[in-house]
Amino acid sequence: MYEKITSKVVVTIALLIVLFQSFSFPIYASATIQPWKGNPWSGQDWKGTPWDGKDLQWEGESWEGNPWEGKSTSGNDWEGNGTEGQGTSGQGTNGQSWEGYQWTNAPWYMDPWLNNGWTPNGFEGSPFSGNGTNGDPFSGNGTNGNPFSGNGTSGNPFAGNGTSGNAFEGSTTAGNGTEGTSFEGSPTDVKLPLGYEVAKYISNDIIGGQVNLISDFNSFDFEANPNGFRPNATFFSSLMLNGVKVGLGDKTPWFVNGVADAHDGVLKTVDAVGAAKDYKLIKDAATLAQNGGASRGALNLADNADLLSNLSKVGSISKLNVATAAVGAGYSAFELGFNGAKAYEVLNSDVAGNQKVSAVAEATSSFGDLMMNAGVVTAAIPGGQAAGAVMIAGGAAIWGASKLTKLVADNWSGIKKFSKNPVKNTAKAIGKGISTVKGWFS
Amino acid sequence: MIFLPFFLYSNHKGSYIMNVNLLKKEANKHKKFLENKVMLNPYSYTVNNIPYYLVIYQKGEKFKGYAVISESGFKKTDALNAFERLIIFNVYVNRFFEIEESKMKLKPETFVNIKRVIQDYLSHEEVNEKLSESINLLTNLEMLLKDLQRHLTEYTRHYDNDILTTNRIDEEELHTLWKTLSYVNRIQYLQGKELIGNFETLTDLYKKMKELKLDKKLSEYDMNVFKELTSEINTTKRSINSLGFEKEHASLSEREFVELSIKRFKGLGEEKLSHYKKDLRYPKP
Repeated sequence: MYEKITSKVVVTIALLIVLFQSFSFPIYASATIQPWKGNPWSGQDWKGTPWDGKDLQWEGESWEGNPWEGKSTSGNDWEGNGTEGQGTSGQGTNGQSWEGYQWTNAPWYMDPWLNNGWTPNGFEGSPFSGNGTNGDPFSGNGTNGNPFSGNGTSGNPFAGNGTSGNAFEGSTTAGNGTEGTSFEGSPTDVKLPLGYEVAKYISNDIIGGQVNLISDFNSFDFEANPNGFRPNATFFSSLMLNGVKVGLGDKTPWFVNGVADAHDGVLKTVDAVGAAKDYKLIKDAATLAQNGGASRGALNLADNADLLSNLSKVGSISKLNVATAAVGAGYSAFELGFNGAKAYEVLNSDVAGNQKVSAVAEATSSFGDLMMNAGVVTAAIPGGQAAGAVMIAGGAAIWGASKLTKLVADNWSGIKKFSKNPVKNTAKAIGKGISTVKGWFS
Repeated sequence: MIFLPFFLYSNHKGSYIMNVNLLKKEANKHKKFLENKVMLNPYSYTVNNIPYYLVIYQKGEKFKGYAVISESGFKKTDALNAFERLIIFNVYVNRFFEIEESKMKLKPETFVNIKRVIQDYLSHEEVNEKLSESINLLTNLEMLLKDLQRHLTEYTRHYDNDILTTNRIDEEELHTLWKTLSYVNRIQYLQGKELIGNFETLTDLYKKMKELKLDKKLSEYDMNVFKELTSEINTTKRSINSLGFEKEHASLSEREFVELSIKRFKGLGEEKLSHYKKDLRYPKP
C-alpha cells in the first residue's frame, strides 16, 4: 500500500508538470552520444609550407607498350599515353610523418575527459616524430611486365620536394594543443553519455517493467478482481519519470530530476523495509498448505496452454526477473566502474572536500545498485547454475536479455493495451541501445 | 549456447526419460470444463518400476484437484501409493520455496556493514560499552542469517540441478527435504530468540548511531533495514509461537534435534493425507 500510494503521488506530480513532454520526444533520436563539450582544441596552427604542385608538368615519356589484348577488353582503350613516366618515384612523403602509437586505450565514452583531457594514456609517446614512410615506396618497377611492360613510370614527374619540406616537423601536436588545459572543468562535471542513459532506460525500465508486469499478471487472481488486471503504479511511474529524463536530456528541469531521484529512493526503501519485515516474520516449515499448488518447474500441459502459462511455474515467473536483475547488475557494474574511476580522480585532485565526498557517495550509490541487483540474481540462482527451472519454458530455453526481449515481443500482446506499442519499440531499440552498451563491456 | 528442456537432460538416476507428449494426453483426460491449467509436476515417484506423476488442475489460480498418471503400466494401487509420497513432497517443497523467497531477501552484509561503522568509530573514540556489546549481537545475527541462507541455497541448488534434471524423487529425497526444513526451522527459532532477547540492545544501538551521526556512514538501504528491524518486535514474538517444537527441543544437539524433527515432519504429512485424498480425482481412492 505504501509503495502504491507513494508511487501514485509521485507519478501524479510528475504528470502535472512535464510528463506529456516525454512522449513527444522521440527516444531513439536522442540515442546518440552526447557531443564533446570541452574547450575547443587550441594548439598552434600548422605552419609548414604547403605543397604546391601547380607548376609541375607531366614530363615523362609516353607509354609505348603493347595494348592489353585480353578477351574481354581487347579494344584500344589503353593505347594512349596516360601512364607514361615514373609517376610516383619521387619522395612524395619524405617528411617525418606519423609513426606514433595507435589509440589503444578505452574509447572516449568509457573514459571521457578525465583529468587533463587526453594526456594520461591516449597519446602517450611521440606521436608524430617518426619517419613513417621514408624509403622508396614507389620507386620500383611495380608495373613491369605485360600488359603494362613499358616504362610507364620511369619519368620524374614528382621528383620534386612536393612534401619534403617541414610539413610535419613543426610542433603541431607537441605543443599545447592536447597537453594543455583544454578540459578546464571540474572532474566532477563528468557525465555519462546520453546514449548510455537511453539504453539503461530501455532495458531497465521498459523491459524490466514489462517482465515484472508479466509476473504480476500471471499471479493475478482474476476471480477475486472482476475489474481485471492493471499494472501497478511503479511500472508507470518508473517508465514515465525516467522517460522524462531521457527525453529532455540536459534540459530536464531540476525538479524532475529531484522527483525521479526521490522516486528511486522510495522504491529502494520499500525493498529494504520488505527485506527486514520478511526477516522478522518467522515461517514455520511445518505449516502445510490445505492444497498443493504445483511445484517449482511444473509444466502446464493444458491443450490451450501458452508459453507464458508454462513459464508461470518454471520456478515461478519471478525468476525471469533474474534476467532483468542481471542486466541491471551489468549497468550498475558499469556505473560503479565509471563513478569509481571518477571518484579516484576526484580524490586525487585539488577539488573541495565536499566534491570529494560527493564523488565517493556516487560511487557507493552505484555499488548499492549493483548489490541489490546481484542480490536478486544470487537469491534466484543460488547454485549459479539454474538448470532447467529458470531457463526452460515449453521446450525452449531462454536466458539473457536478448532472448527475454524476444519472448516478450512474441508473446505479450496484452501489454499494448497499457502502453503504446512498447514491445515493438523496445525490440527496435534493443538493436541500437543494447548493442552499443554491449560494445562498451566487450 | 543452447539449453535443453530438463526432460531431455541425461538422467543419472536411471535411463528413463520423461515423455511429455504422452503424459500430456494422460493429464488432459482428467481435466474438467473451464479448467485452464493442467500442471504436471516435474518429478515422478516410482512404484513397481512404473514412474507416477502428480497432476494439479486449476482454473486460473484456483486449485481444483489432483490426478496421478503414468506413461504406461498404470495400476490403481500403485498410483495411490505414489500419490501419498508425491503430495507430501509437493506440499513440503512448496513450503520450502515460500520460506526461501522471503528469507533470502536480507543480506548478512547489512549486519557486517553496521558492525564495520561501529568498529571504525570505536577505533578512534573512547570505548563505549553499549557500542562494544552490540558488536557481538550483530555478529550473531550475521552468522545465523548466513547459516540459514546456506541451507536454503544448498537445497535450492539440489532441487534445480538434481530433481529437475532426473525428474525423480524417492524416500531419500523426502528425507533430504525434511532434514533441510528441520535446519531451517531451528535456525529461524534461534534468530527469533536472539532478536527478541536483544531487541532493546538493538534499538539502543540504532538510537546511539543516530545520535553520533554514524547512520550517515551507512548506505540508505542498510539504514532502512536497520530502522525497520528496530521498529517493532511483535511480529517476531507472535510468529515464533508456531515454533513450539523447536523451543521445546532447543537443548538437544543439532543432530538429535534434526532426527526428531524429521520424524515429526513425516507424521504431520501423513496426518494431512486424508485431507489431500479428498481432492484426488484419479484414481479415486
